[in-house]
Amino acid sequence: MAILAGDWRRLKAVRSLTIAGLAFSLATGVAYSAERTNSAPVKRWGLSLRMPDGGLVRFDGAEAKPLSPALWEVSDFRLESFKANGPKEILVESPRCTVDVTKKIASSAGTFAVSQEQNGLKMTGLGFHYDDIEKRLIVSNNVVVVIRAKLVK
Amino acid sequence: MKSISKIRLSLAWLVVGVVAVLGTVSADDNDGEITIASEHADEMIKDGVYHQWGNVVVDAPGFLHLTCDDLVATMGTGASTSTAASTATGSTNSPAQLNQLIANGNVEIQLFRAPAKPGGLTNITYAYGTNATYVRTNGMVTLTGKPRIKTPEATATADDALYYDLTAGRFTNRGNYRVTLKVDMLKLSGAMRRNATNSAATKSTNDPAKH
Repeated sequence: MAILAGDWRRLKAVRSLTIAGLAFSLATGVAYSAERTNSAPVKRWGLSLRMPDGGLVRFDGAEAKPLSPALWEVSDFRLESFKANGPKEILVESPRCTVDVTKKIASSAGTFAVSQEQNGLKMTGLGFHYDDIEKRLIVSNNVVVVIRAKLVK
Repeated sequence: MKSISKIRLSLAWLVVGVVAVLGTVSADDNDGEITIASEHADEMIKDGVYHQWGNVVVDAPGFLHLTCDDLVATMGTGASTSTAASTATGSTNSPAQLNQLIANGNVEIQLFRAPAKPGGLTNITYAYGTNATYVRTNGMVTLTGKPRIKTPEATATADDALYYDLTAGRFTNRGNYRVTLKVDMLKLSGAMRRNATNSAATKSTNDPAKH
């Protein structure tokens, strides 16, 4: 019985420590989260990054709110991607979207427009994920692509 | 025997008509805007590969209207031979070139031909199949999966595939084919006698149709 009583005391101690640990984690997590979500939005946000191939990608927006060091929620978003030798390759615009500046990815459940000056391509839709490194665009709904093209020959 | 030779003549006219419709494609003034609408898309912009699926509608006004379940269009830059010059001048605003088109599932194509006279009717050629492909390098349009082509004059079907070579302006087929001419067409060509029945004339063969 003495052994059992001792075990019971140890169990109570472990339980107390666990509860204290959880409380501490929760408190610090909430504080961390609060600190992030309370980060002040940046007006007239903009960022230019040089790509490994010599190209350039430029992000800008009317207002941006940091969600993490790399992740931003941007309103009136524009992404311009330039080739190494200068000409603009792609322009992506969205009224509101989330941008990962390290991965060069923009995504949103809302509307967007993409244009490619080189061949007169224009694309609109609802809900998109654009990867500027891969130059890949995935659209979930209502896709409309307009291409100025030579049909044959 | 005489009427059979006149049916052949009518078939030749039909082919000439269809060739004239498709021949408008290879005109020099074929730059235009193509609209591709669909429910979903996965576009590899760098490679010029546009994959769209779910109620796909391709519209090139005055020329082509295509619907299907799934479409992969491969585009190239039309200025590939003059890239250096255009880069030097800063002008790269040249139209893209449609290199390949692969349409899958419930393919319906309408090709429009402008009326020959002002105020005339626009001729529409319809094409149906499970799959349709166009490849620029060989200028070949291939229709498979119960392929059927319908013109104002006649309907052509094949068991396997129908091909149209845009460069040579020639129709070929794989497997058996059948052409059904409308009675009016035969009357116009003088192939039918006065006491001919009103049923449509049909010609089919196992041989490839070469014109």
